[in-house]
Amino acid sequence: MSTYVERIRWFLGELKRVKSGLFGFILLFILVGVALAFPLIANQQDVMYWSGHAEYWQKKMLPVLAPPAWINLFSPQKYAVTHVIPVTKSNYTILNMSNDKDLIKYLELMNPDVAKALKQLPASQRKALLNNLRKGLHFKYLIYIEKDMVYDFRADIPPSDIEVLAKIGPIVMRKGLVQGINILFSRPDGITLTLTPGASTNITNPFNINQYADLTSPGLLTRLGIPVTTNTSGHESFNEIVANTTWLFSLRDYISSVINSRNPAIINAILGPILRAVNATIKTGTYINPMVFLMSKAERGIVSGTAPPLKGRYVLSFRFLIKVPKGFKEPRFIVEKAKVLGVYGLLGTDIHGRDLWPAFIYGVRWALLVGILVSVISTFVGVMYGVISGYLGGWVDVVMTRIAQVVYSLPVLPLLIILAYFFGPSIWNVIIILIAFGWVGIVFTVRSMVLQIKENLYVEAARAVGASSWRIIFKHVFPQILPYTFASMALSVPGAILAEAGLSFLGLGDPNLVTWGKILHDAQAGNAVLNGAWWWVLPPGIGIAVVGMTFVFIGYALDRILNPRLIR
Amino acid sequence: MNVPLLEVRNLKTYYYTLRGVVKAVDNVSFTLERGETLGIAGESGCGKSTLAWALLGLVPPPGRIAGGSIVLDGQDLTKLSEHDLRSKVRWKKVSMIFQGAMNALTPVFTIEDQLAEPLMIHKGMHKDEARERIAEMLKAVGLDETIMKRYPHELSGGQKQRVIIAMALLLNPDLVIADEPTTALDVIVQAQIMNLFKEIKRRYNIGMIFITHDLSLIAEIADKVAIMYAGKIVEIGSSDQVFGNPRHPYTQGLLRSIPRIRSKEKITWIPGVPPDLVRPPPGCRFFPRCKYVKEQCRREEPELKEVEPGHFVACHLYG
Amino acid sequence: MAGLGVTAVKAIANALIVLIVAALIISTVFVEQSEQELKGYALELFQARVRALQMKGIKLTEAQLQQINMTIWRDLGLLEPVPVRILRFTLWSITFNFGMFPAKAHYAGALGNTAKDVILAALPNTIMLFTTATLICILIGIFLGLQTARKAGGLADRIISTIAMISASLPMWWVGMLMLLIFAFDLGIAPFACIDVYSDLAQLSRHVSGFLYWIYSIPIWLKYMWLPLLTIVIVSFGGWAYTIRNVVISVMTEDFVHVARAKGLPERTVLYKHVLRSASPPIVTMSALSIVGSLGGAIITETVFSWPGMGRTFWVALQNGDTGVLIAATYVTVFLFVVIIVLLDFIYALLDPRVRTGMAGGAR
Repeated sequence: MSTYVERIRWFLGELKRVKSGLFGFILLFILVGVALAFPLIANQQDVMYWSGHAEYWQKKMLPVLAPPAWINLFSPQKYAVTHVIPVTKSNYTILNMSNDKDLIKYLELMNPDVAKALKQLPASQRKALLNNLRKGLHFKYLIYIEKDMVYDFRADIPPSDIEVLAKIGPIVMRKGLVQGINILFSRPDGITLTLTPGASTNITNPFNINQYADLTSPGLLTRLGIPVTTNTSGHESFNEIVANTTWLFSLRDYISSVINSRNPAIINAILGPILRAVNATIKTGTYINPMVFLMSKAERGIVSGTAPPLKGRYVLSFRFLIKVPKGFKEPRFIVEKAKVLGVYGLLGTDIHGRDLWPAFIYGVRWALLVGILVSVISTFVGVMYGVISGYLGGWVDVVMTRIAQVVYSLPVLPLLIILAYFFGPSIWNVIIILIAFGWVGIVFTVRSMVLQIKENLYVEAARAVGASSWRIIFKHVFPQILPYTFASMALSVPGAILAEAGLSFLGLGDPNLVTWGKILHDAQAGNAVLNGAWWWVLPPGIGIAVVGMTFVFIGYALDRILNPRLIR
Repeated sequence: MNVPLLEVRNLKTYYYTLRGVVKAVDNVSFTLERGETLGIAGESGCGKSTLAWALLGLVPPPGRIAGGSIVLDGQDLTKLSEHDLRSKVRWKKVSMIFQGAMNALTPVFTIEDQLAEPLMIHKGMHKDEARERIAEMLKAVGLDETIMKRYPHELSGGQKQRVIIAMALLLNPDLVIADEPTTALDVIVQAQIMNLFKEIKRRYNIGMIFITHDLSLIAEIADKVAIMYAGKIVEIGSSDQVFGNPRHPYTQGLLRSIPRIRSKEKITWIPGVPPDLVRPPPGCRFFPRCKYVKEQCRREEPELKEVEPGHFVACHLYG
Repeated sequence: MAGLGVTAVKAIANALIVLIVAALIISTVFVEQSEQELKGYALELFQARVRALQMKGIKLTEAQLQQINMTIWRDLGLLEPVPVRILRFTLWSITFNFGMFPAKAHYAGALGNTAKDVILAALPNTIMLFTTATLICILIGIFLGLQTARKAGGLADRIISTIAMISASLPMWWVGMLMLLIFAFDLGIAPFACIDVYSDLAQLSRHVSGFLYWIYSIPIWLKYMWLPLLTIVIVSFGGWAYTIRNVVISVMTEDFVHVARAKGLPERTVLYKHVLRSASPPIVTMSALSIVGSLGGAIITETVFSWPGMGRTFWVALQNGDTGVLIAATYVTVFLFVVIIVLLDFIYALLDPRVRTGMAGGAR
């Protein structure tokens, strides 16, 4: 036992001499630490829900293809940073038509003369008239909802989007029942837009349906992205926004769809106030960056996107005027999260709006696992194969060497790809296949070493004493080969990691796992290069390189220390 | 009065390594006359090979000549430029015979190619001219000229050694240094090669330095013998003097350790190991292993003193 | 040079074994897949033939229709049991009979729609790119390797060693993505997709033809080739220089180098004639290994650059389930690969007389 302690101590001493090796081991230590500390430094859930969980990511509301937040340290022009914006004003007013007072109030707002006249009538007549009126109305409750969100824009580059995640419903849409919606966008320079064409930019009377756009119009609903279901009750079928419908409103997507509709009437209705202020028009077919347009100064160049940013206080206001018929529940409009989307996080996001930081950190685990597992097992198999082949000699050796030569001559990656394609993409298949090809490399060197050792006298001597073959192998042959084995193991890790990364990059890796190769695969598929998304491409590759380098340094040092050679 | 062919004075050749300065050749002096054969004997690591390389100016880095002079034919080689050494001295005036059984011949070129090189470079010969001379030389060392087209790996140890010898003699040098030329050969071939050496000595009358750890070989061929220990010459004299009347305890020890077929004497060996050349012992370098060691030996380095005409010993036993 | 001849024969024999084994493996893997493939193709052929006959006004009986179908199936090898089919595919592969396989997807530059056409178009492109890159790397490697070997441990040496160690861990295709980000996206001086070379070439062909076309197509190819070429060289040169440096260092410690110096040979002769020449056999082995490695990376690198070579073809075929092209591409790759290895073995024997078999050797 003490010899092992001595050996380790000697090894550590030697290691100090070979600086690169020390560096390698320290790096390895750090990497293992990061791999283990993953749950602490990154969001584990993000990785679990990485593939195929669209709702999870929708709820997270992260920007798409966003550079990392620290880009602002290096950029002369500051980007808007992703953050939640508060709801500053919230208003919920109910008018109950069954209630006389409310009904009169409603009349006052809608038709003051009629209301005045009504008030002057005697009570019984008033009551009768009111009941009559009530019968004419198709609704029991009239609800006014107002929610304001404020964004104080101080950066140089507008955010890529402003999103609101809300729960809305129930809202009934029947023939003759007009529901009102008005989404207002007011800028610091006083210009206010209404995003819902037909509504007025200045609401004087919130209960005046004319100041709203018609929520029930199918075109508007589709463009707003509010899911609608059809209900059948009795003989009639009607549309309804059911209770607790999730609605994700994206300002950018909405304005984009408006511009892409090429409908001059709608474009002018919505973007008119800005256009008129600069006396410009939008030619059909020109590309306009919606957020830049909305948040630039009303000067020349605003359409082409070259106008300077308009900094200040922006208000996004949602107003609803909902009529609730008898037998239906009151609507709710709850803002779960309102967010300004710009640059984000430590490593930005990909094209699906997924945070790249946890994916990157998680990748360390699999890189280390695959690399070490493949290299250790394949080196072990190769060494055993070489030892047996070399030691037994004769025709066994010839056959074994021939087999190894054939396997060695086969081009790895094409066959790897084919096998992965046919046996299914699972990380364990990949590991097995990598081992199946990886064991050959070391066989020839080990075999020639064994042949040399065989010639040595003490093996003869041991045999003369009567030691069995296995005993000879273990006691005499292995200790000589062991140092070379360790160095070889370390040096074959980068190859394994690169192979796995390559397979994943091609889409043949495990689809459920997040590895660096997979991230790069997504980057390629998501046109990261075309979009200049360097933050998507750089980190995984650097990760692969760093892990690989760690083992190259370690292997190199092991080689130097354990294999004394006459290198001057 | 004959000017000696080679006069080495106070030659120091050190290796400057990370561990320290290895004094491989430390203050070595000797002379060699034309046609004379000097045998240099000593254990491995005593600096014999370094001395040989120093004479050619080819001490491998991190070593270099740190002092002293090597005067060949009146010219101090230590003061010559690399260019002059290469074009005027190496192989033309001084050539070297290596252990042929090892890797002295480049494996990828034929014997003819390699033998032609010095002829073409130093004598400006054409390939065809060279071929004649090569054939002549090969015959002189007892090889058939069909060897020319062969590759080194096709030759036996003995054949390779002869080729090396032929190669060394191609340009008729004044001095040939043979560094362990027979070490890797079996006894019979060794005897053949030694006969060849004697033949060459007789026929060409060149100066030769024969370096080996095998004293019996030196006895066969050397006129003069120098015994080296730990980078220094501890005894030097004629072959008869050193073998017949060894004075230095080390020499005596060496001679006693040679097994003789007919003698009934017990073989003894010298206990201990040669010293570390980075930090050699103070005083006489041999004192840790010497059975005659005195107090003086531990402090003072002995100088070479003449104990007989032409026979020098560096030992405090002799004044 | 008897030894050379025997060596060559042995190497070729070896190669044939590998080729046959590889073809067997590939064919086995694909027979299942290609069954569906070929049945579909057979149906197409059948319908085409029937239609052609009907257009001529010939009426066919049930028996005759069956006959036509049988003929087609027989020609495509569908009538045979699986093991026989495997052997047939192996045979087709070995004899390069790829005209039998249809190509499903569209491959840029292919002049027809069989696997053979696709390969004929793609193969030269891969060779052009990777051979040029390898040659450049070898030249740089020899120069740098020799220089750093001479001053081993010096600054240049340590820099090259570090570069080599880093390059060994870099995925070439990732560096490709970075190069595209820098040179195509940021600086705009390189094209994003090399496959556009064909549209440029098509444009050229509208203006000039014949000899002029070949002359003018050279700068067009260069325009698209320079970035992938640069990428490959950047990632590979360090490894070459380092390997050559190692081999040269170990050679320089050999006795014959000292002997060469002792013979009074100028240092340049010692270095380039004795050292380099003796170092070249192991260098040849290293290059064989590196080519092995690069063949795989080629697939991904070509995909990143959209370079219309064998690698990308392989990938497109895989994505489209185009088994015919897959078999052809895989087999041609293995074949090329084996040819290169044999060639290198032969060159090795040419350079190092010690490995030539059939020569008398060793001590007697």
